[in-house]
Amino acid sequence: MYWFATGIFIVAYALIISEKIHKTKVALFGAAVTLIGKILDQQEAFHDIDLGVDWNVIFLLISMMVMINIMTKTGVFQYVAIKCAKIAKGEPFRIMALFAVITALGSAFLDNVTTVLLLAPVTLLIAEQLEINPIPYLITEALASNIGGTATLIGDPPNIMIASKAGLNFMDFIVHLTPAIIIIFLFWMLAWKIVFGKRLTVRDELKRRIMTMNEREQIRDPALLKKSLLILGLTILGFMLHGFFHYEPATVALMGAMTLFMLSDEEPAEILAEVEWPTIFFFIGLFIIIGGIVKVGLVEDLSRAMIAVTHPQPDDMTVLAMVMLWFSAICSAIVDNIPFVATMNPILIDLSNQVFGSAATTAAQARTIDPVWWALSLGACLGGNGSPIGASANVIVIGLSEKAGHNISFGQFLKYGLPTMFLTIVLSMLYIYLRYYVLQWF
Amino acid sequence: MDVSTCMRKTVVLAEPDCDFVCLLHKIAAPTPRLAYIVNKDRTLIGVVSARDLLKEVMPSYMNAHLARSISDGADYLKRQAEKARHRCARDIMVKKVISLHPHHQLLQADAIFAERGFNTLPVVDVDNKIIGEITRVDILVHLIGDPFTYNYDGVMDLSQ
Repeated sequence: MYWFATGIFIVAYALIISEKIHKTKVALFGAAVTLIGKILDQQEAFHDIDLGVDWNVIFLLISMMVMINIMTKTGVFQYVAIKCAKIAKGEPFRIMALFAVITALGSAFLDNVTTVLLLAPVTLLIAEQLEINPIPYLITEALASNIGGTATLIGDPPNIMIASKAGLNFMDFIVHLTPAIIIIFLFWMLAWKIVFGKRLTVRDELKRRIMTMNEREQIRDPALLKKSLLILGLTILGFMLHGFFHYEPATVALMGAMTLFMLSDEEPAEILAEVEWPTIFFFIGLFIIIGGIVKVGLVEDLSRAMIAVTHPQPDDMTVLAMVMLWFSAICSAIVDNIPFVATMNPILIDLSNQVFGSAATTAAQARTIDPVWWALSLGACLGGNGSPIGASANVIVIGLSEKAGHNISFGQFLKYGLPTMFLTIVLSMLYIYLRYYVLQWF
Repeated sequence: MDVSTCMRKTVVLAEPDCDFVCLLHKIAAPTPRLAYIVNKDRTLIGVVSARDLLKEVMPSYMNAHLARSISDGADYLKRQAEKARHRCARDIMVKKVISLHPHHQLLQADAIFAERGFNTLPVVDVDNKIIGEITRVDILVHLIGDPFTYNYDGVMDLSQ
């Protein structure tokens, strides 16, 4: 069984990386083989918290997708983007910086792909009006979405998975990751100012084109917009308080999404059809494959190997945190960060069990292991900027740009993405080291 | 009844290097129709419709809501059209062409029109050389009879 499960895992990973077969097909087929081969039984696959599908992740993802699908129909993102371009008075760098801020903020609370999908058409239009190359703007938005998505529990699927497995709540992410992302974002923008500040210039007559644009035309349904903003606000409040009221994040998200669904006039068939079912089923398949390698002991072996390399102690895991950060970043630049985090989660839990003798339950144990979870999150999310295939937002932006007649080559993306990845990971390393190991600020 | 019984044998042809303006002329006159892009031996390699030309002028990211935010819409369109002028048939044409053979049944042609939403389909021989085209109207005329034998007030000048 050990080698059978390991074989399924390796072949699935290889096929996902090769992109020769759609990753959802690979994950679901791998899951089917795991079940038919009796590595896991159906009870374990669907009902076991440690081995099976993490329904908290699945329902959180579905709920947020439903909420986003309804919100996109209001036109609010396009409104904000055009408004920002006007606030920037048509200045190209200011527009780039403001669009990066909107994208990062949007991605912190919504899906990264949706955020860039909504902003890219406005970006292309504004670049067209200013007669400038849209490529640096589009790449900046993809990078900003990956940075912004790292800030919250709901910003990026790896964070949702980490929160569920590590028992971290929304406020833990706000307290530990949001400050890191604010610092990282400011430094990144400073670097971008140095790179693009003087390169991006346009004539005054072209800036006037931006100033004459009418952002109000973008609001398609003002009543739905008011409802959406109210429900989104309440849902975020619910996320902040979910630990206090002992609700899982998925429960809060489901309540928010279904309330908005009830209040909107949207047809269920239309809204549910727009849920990214391939992604949802990719998760389901992946959870079952990973459950298989946990059950047969491969994860235990991998965590033992990690302990041998990094020598984590019950009171100090500095080396492990640093190795985890860089390892996650490099892997996530090459591999989809979802399967990566799905694999790392049980390894870290097993590692914690081995170091502490049981799962980290005391405050002192949590203090030691939590920085490692933050390192995994920062590495996995920010590492996605390292290559065009590192994150879904990158792939989407490249596709949209190509469709609009602006090809972004692999090398061209790397020129922007790789330095961003290194800058953000170095800053993350400094943040983790200074905050948790020098200042001891937990 | 097969396609050969009612296909048209006069078609608009263009070479892959034919530019945007030339394509527009070919499609617009004498009646709106497709331009078939062929090699020198008349092998069909693509097709261009007015819709394809319009797609070249209208950027992929544009939608009706976004369009409303632009105050200088005419100027914007002129700039896009100016860019499109430099493209040629090879860049614009639809390469995956659905075609018919003369021996295909009219029912089959009609089903393709209905399923795919096309109005016109090229007819090619076994070597994929174009030999004609067939339209929805051609099939209907063939089935119902020539409408020009009836006396209808079909066309009205609304400017008066």
